[in-house]
Amino acid sequence: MTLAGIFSYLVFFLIFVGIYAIMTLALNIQRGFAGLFNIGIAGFWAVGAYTSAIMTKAPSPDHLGGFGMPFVIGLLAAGIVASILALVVGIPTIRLREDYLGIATIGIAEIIRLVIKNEAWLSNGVRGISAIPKPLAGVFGSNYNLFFLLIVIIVIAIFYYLSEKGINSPWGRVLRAIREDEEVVKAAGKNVVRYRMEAFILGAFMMGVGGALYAHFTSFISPEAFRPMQATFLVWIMLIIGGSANNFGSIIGAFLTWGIWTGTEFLTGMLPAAYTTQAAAVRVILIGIFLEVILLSRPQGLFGEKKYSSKSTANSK
Amino acid sequence: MFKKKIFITMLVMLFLSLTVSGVFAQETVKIGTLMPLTGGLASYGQFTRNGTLLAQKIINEQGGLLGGKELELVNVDTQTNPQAGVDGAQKLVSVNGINAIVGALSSGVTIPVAESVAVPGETVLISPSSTSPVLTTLEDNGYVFRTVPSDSLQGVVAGNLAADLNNDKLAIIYVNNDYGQGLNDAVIEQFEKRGGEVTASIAFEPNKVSYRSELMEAASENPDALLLIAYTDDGGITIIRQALENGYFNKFIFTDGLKAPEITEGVEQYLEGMYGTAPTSMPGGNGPELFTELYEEEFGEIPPKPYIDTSFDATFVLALAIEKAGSTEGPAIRDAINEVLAEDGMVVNINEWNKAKDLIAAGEKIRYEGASGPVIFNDVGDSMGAIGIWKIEDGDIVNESVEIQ
Repeated sequence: MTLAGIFSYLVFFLIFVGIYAIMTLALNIQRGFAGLFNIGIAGFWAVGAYTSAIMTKAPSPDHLGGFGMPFVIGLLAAGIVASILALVVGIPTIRLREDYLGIATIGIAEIIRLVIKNEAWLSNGVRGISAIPKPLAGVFGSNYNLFFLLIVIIVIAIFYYLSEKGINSPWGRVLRAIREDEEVVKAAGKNVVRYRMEAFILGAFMMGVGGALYAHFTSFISPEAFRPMQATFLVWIMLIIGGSANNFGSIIGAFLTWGIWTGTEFLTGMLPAAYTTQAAAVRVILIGIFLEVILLSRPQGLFGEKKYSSKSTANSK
Repeated sequence: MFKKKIFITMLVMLFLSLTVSGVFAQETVKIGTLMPLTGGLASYGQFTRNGTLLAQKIINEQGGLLGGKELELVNVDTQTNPQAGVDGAQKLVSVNGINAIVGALSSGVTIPVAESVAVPGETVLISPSSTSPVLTTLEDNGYVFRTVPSDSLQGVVAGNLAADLNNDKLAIIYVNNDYGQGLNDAVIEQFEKRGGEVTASIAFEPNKVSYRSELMEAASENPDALLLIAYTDDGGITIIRQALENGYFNKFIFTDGLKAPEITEGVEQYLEGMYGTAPTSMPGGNGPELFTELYEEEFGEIPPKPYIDTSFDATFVLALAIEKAGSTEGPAIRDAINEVLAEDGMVVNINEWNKAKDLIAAGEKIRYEGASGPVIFNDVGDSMGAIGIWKIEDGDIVNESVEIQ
């Protein structure tokens, strides 16, 4: 083990954290601020990943495209297609009460996974898409991951900034009001459905971009990568751990949860080799214990809801 | 404040464990293994892991490698999931400083690990079980190998078999995953090359109660036979039963997943004389028997699960290559694999590590009579494979012949 090795793993680790942080920020807009119960993150993740892969890959007989577009176009397309999907899904379902929306979204995610699995002309089916290009591959040599981390951080920074701006605006206040009490907002003459839809679409856009980053980073996607456990519920855990309705908390939640998820491997790795099988089970138990400890000691998440208030009300206090 | 303490203690523990494990490290030669111990393939992972451990034991008992260093295996659980698998592989390469990996099992994990960790990190990867044809064409700079043949090999043999049995029109029903699809594509290609016509090729989702609609569709153009690509426990048996009950088909060709006596239970007379295919060990050598014996000595009865022997072989071959290369650098190991293995080399059995070391020291090439038969890689890093043809006789499965591809 060398210092350089630890550093390079840390960079790698942070890239994954970053991709999850984008997902968590997106979910925070939907759940934290607008109160939308989306448990179909895996679907938007998959759509983003496949869109960007098809847009940026060189032409291939195995699936639709590829169109050989630049990386940035791929990211944008991923976000836009995910948004369109959210719109289409949202039209019939966004009016539903929150638990019904949850059921609808989990169904949609499963439908998307099965479409990807079965429509081979589109996605190469169960074999997945390989050789997804990495942006500027070859330019940075062995420091490539550091460059990719930079891309991820830039994307997070943009989303974080926009999200904070949005929440601090009148638009954001309406969203939070809807989350607390829809009827009151309706009485104030606001179009509740429109606001909810906007939050749903914005979140989906970010999820699409996050999915695209995942695709480019691993260079290979197949339906296996979009199972609900790692692609949906882990993101929910991150949001809950970090604190719902707190953008900074979302990022820290992603960091801590993924840290526990993978870091427990180091702990159980210290057990003698004869216990490897048991160690894997112990690791899962440890994850559970760590998460329980956090939730019991901080039921509102590590950071809890951030108090947002407009400048005028803040000054008058 | 108490809560903050818990939080900080947790973080400190995580990072301490990282450094502590480094301090106590001694001079060993390390190989990483990526086996799923949780998740969908957990029931395979613990036994394939045993396969690698057995290789480690034999090598260390016979004096280790690179001048007496011990072989150490570091396993990371892939959770049968690409996100966790890729992270685990990176951990092996960066933190544990490993330049050779045995794993992963499913192609859906192996390919992203290869593309985002192994190839950029100049790490040799040998998968003991990923059979996807995508691995053959992967741009891997020669770093990716596998000790199982690609699915397409069995497809070629099955396609030939169907044609040899005088079928002009064939219907295929296959399990909808990369294994099923790979086989299906290869069968169609070969069968059409032989002048036959595939009237239907239908994917099925596992574990449904009824497959009558799939069967009806498959039987619609009166094909001569049904080629069924399935496992016994995911619907294969149901399909056979329902095909017979409703008279959709009376002639079948099976693949390896159905090479089990259960398929004939209660319907022996209808399946009498049907044929099937399955990957098998290359003829020659007694590697498989020897392996079963050694495994049972160490771990007790060997379960009827695949890829335990190929995991052993992957580990052993990596050790051979490291010994040949005289170093643990990725590029050196990669080049050494094809330098040390040769079909016409000196025979080394799976328990003859000392002999192998002597041969390598003398500059000889080695014909490794592995646990899954002789291991030789072709120029894209795929193992050359043998496909056996089997037949149902008196309700039992009998091996007929072996074809080498």
